[in-house]
Amino acid sequence: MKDRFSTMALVLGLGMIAACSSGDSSTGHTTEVAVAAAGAGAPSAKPRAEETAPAGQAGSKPLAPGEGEGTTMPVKCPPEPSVPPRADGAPTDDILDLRPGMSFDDVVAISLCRDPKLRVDVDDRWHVSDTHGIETRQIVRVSDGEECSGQDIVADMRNSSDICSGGDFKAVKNATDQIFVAFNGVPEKEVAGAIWRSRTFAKDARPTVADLQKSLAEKYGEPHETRERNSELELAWTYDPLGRRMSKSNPALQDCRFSVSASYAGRHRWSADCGLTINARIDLDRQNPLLADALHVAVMQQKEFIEGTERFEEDLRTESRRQNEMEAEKAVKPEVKL
Amino acid sequence: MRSATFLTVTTKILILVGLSVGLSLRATSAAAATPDEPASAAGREVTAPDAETIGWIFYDRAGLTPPLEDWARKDVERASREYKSPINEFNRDEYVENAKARLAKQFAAAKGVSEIRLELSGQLSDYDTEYEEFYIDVFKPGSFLSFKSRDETFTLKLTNAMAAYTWKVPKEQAMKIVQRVGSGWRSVKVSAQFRIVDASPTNGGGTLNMEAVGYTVLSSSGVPLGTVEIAKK
Repeated sequence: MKDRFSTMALVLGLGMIAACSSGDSSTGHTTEVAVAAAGAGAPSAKPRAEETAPAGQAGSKPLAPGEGEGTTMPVKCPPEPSVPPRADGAPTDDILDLRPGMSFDDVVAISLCRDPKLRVDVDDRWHVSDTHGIETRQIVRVSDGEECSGQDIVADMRNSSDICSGGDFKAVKNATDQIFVAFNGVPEKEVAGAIWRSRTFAKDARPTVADLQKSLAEKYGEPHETRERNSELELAWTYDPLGRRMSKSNPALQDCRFSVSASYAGRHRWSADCGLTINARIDLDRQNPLLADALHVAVMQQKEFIEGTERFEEDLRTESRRQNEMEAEKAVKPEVKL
Repeated sequence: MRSATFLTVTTKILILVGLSVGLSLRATSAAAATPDEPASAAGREVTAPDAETIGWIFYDRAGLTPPLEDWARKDVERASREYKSPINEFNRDEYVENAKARLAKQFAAAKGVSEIRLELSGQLSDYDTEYEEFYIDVFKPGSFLSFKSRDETFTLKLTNAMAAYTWKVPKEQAMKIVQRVGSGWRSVKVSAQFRIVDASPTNGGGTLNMEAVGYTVLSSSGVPLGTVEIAKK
């Protein structure tokens, strides 16, 4: 679907961002295996205070195809999210400090302060296809992968090796940690609604399934539901729109539980009668099911995402009308003889 | 909350469409008003409005001017195609003027309406012993009522659906309610009062955002089971 989903490359190359957390990549990448490393509301990485790093033009202005690559814009570390901290007693709703409700800039800043080597790619389409010609930033990928060259892709196809992957984004290889964030909102007013993380483990660094379960429980609480099938262990935390653990008597439970795939690459369905949902999936090693090959986690505020999408679509219509009127005003008005 | 008085009137089926999950619930709305005799807006509340009345209310709340001349002409043209219609080119303009006056009267009657009362058919959920509440499916978040009038679709959406969706009831009372409702589909009627929050045009119609003020749940035979007043945020 590349024709419809034109990827706006917003590559934050390795050399472009240097200072943000030069001493912090260790906290960023060596502790994240345990999901609880981020803690409930605690920063997962602690960059040195008040450092400023050039970090591409991510989040600095509305993106347009071909615009931005190589441009620099400071990202302040530690980041100062534009949303208030989670309310006391509210369920944990973050993945590595990324939470629904955050702005595009928040997401980029938090990600890059965690690890400045990560690359950020933006795609303009995810769930709203009719944008009335307005360039949007609906989905962001934050990845530790390396961009595949043309030769890589050719070799991949020739050998059917599946080394390069990317879907609607630029293909990358050797990715072990990828985050995807879906947004509602016209440019510069984006609001994060759903966050996914997929972490794959090298053969010699696989955590135990039990440790991952423990880490997940420490972060999100005891899972509301756990199920195992096809070498996968799935865990779900399902809340109603009032922020309460969804009761088994709630007719919406069947619609809400496991409705958003833990993996971004899976199938997702969301509904206005669901609140916060957290879904995790541990891919078990086929030889030794006590060890994990990968961990996938998804967080979504479903009701807010649906309402946000309605506002997004309305704002797009309004913005389109405004742009049309401006264009008509500025247009050269030749005399038309009839 | 005033008691509902329109339970005996003819009902018509509306479709309550789930927003995102493809649910399709059926709700009924008492259709007391007819195009010629619009529901009275006296007291700024209209009971069981039909689709056309909803349209008038929308135009009023949105501050839009309905195209009365155009609608009147279409009404007359439609009527003139009837077999043995008395309308012809010699009296058509007069009919159009009369039709326009009738429409203007209907629009005037709907002006200033701020609250709507509807009777809805729904189902009572199992009692939730954890939170001590029932769930009333007609208020399920994301659902909306859809009214079609003159090629336009007007959507009624709730801004406080979750507050209305959950009906807090102590366990002892809940057991009595379940006994009264009986087994099977647990069908109930809900007589609900809504306050209009605002109106916004959409392609081919518009949306009336409404806030549920309160409702009475009745058994399918019309026995009141409980009344809910929803606290304003």
